[in-house]
Amino acid sequence: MGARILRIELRRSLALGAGLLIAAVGVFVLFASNPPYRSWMELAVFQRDTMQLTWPLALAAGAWQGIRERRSRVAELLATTPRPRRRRVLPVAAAMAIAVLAAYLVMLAGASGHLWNFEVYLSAGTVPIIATGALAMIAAVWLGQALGSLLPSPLTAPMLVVAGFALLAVLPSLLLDPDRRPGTMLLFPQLQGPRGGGYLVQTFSARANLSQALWLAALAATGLALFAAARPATRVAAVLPILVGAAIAVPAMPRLVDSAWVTDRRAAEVVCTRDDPKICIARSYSYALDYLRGPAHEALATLAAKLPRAPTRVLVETNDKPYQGRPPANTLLLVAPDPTAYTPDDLLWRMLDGAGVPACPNLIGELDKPNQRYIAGRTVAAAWLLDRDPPRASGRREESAVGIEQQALAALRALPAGEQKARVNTLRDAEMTCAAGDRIDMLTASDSAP
Amino acid sequence: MVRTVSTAETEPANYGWVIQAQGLRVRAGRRMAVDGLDLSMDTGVHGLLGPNGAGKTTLIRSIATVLRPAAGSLTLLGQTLGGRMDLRGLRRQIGYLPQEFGFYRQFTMREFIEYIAWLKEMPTAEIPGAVQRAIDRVGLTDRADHRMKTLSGGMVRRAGIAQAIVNDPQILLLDEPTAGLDPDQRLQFRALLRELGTDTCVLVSTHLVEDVAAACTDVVLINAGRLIFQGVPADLAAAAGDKTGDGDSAAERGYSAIMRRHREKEA
Repeated sequence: MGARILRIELRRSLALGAGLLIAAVGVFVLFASNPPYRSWMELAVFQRDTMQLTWPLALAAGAWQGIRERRSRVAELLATTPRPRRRRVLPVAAAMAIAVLAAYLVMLAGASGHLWNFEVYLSAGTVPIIATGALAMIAAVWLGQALGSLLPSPLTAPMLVVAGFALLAVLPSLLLDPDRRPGTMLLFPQLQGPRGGGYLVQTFSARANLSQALWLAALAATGLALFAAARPATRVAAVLPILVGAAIAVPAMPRLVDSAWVTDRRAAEVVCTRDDPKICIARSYSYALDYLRGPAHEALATLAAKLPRAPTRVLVETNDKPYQGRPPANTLLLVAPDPTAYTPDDLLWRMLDGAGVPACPNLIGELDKPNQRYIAGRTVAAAWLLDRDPPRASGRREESAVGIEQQALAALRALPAGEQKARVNTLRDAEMTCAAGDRIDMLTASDSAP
Repeated sequence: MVRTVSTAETEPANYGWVIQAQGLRVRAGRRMAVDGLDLSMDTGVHGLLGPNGAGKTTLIRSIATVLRPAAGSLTLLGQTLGGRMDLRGLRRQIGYLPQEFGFYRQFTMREFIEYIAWLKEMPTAEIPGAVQRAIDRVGLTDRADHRMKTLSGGMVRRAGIAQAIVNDPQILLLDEPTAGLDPDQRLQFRALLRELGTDTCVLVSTHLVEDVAAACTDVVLINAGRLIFQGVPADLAAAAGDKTGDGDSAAERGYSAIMRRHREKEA
């Protein structure tokens, strides 16, 4: 029969309406306030961040439900029934918990439509972030139900929305230096991500997450116990979980929230696609795979068609430090810390720059005085491979390089077809070993011909 | 429709009266609303009459176990309230319609009565049948699946009666159940009362003396928290004697005659 009553409560109490409202507000905020999420971690953390809004809503929904007995004036009738209050409130507490839990998951599912794509990285550390959020929602409704039954006024619920928002959203931003948020911020249900947004390579430490989850579980336990308590003495006892929870959780919390964001080793591991074209990239960048496929396919196909011993896979180096080593011969290496920041055509040009070999640090010149002839030579190789004119000047490639390129490309194309191929191949070999020598001369000078 | 009968129901009663109050005093707020009441009631329909403020509602609330006696004793189904007693077991045997009957507006009538049946700790398997029976008995079969908030005042009152009888209580307490009922519904209600009274101790508080005369086997008249008359309806009618007092029926004249005599004695 408990199940039957639970079903009635799910349909007739505030549960359904509150769940829908929270899910709708949450999905809206998650869609409206952020660019597409590049990993599940990023989405999960932003969902936790929106708890500044959804948590007070759940609290208020609980409170509105909690004053039902008083509002409906059934207290007299219910007081004469044998079933004790602690049993009586279980179905409605369960209904509200199920509603906000479902709302939280629906919110996540709905906002997953705002993921970059479904290839985004799902790290193991994401699951505890979501689970802790769901726990926080349950704590909110139970605490709300307790407050509603203790303070049965129509004003309780609206006041809780305002007070909750002030406490969770306004107060921390007024009082705390965003760079030095203390670990006790984890007493709040929301969670802010790593500074600088390193969601792709960082994860929340298990210890910090556990301490927060423990605290929230204690909060939920106190809420439910307070709601179920019929006598003042039981109400006093209901505060016990919160005290025990705080006593254990607070010392376990990190000194600063940011220090709990740690490197996700698995995220940095390079993984390769199985299908064609073969692309290898750090696991956490898997969101970019879909974007890279077209240019990678075209680059590999172009090289295979035009040059001997063409590479068979694209390796994307996402580390933004200058690339020092040389890739193996079968690998086309693309240095791109943020691959989706380029247009697909830019990516193609970058992949084929220097006939598919990364620039040599010893030849490219100083940052403020780059070697324009070297840069031009690499671009001409790409233009010859693509059989297109070089793009407009950008970045370190200045106008002077574009002039050199146009002349060199014309000269290269004037050579016999076999000669053209041999010249570009020479340039590639030189790039592979970072051998000295003027790249424009390699492509065009009559005396460099073998 | 069959239902299982628990051993508790078929057990012979080992007590003298279903409800017995001795020197009962019950506080309502700061006032002693029931003040030294001696009253014994058995199976049957007991009409509880008395002027406003006589202590009718306070008496019913104390029998419903909402209020604790301040002094004296109140014994229900052989158990004396207070101290170490099986309050939970006793409450399973009570049906109660409060004067102000609150309900959950969003629930359908069937759901609400099911909810009350669950709170009365009825066996799970019996609940759907018992709920249907209770709804049928108050004549709301066609409204069973309507939301409570859509019911008219009279229907709400009948739904209140249905929730009170859903557990086949041994003590049924109805505080002004006929308020809001139309004449036709009152006639049906009287018939229901007579039927219930065959195996239940029903205590009905009302201002309508004719209801008592027509449907009750016993009349209880209280004033200022004390019993001033108890007898069968015929005794009430006879109490008027030959005098033509206030009232349109013999029972009403009897009621006013008893009240007048009581006031004279007090003075």
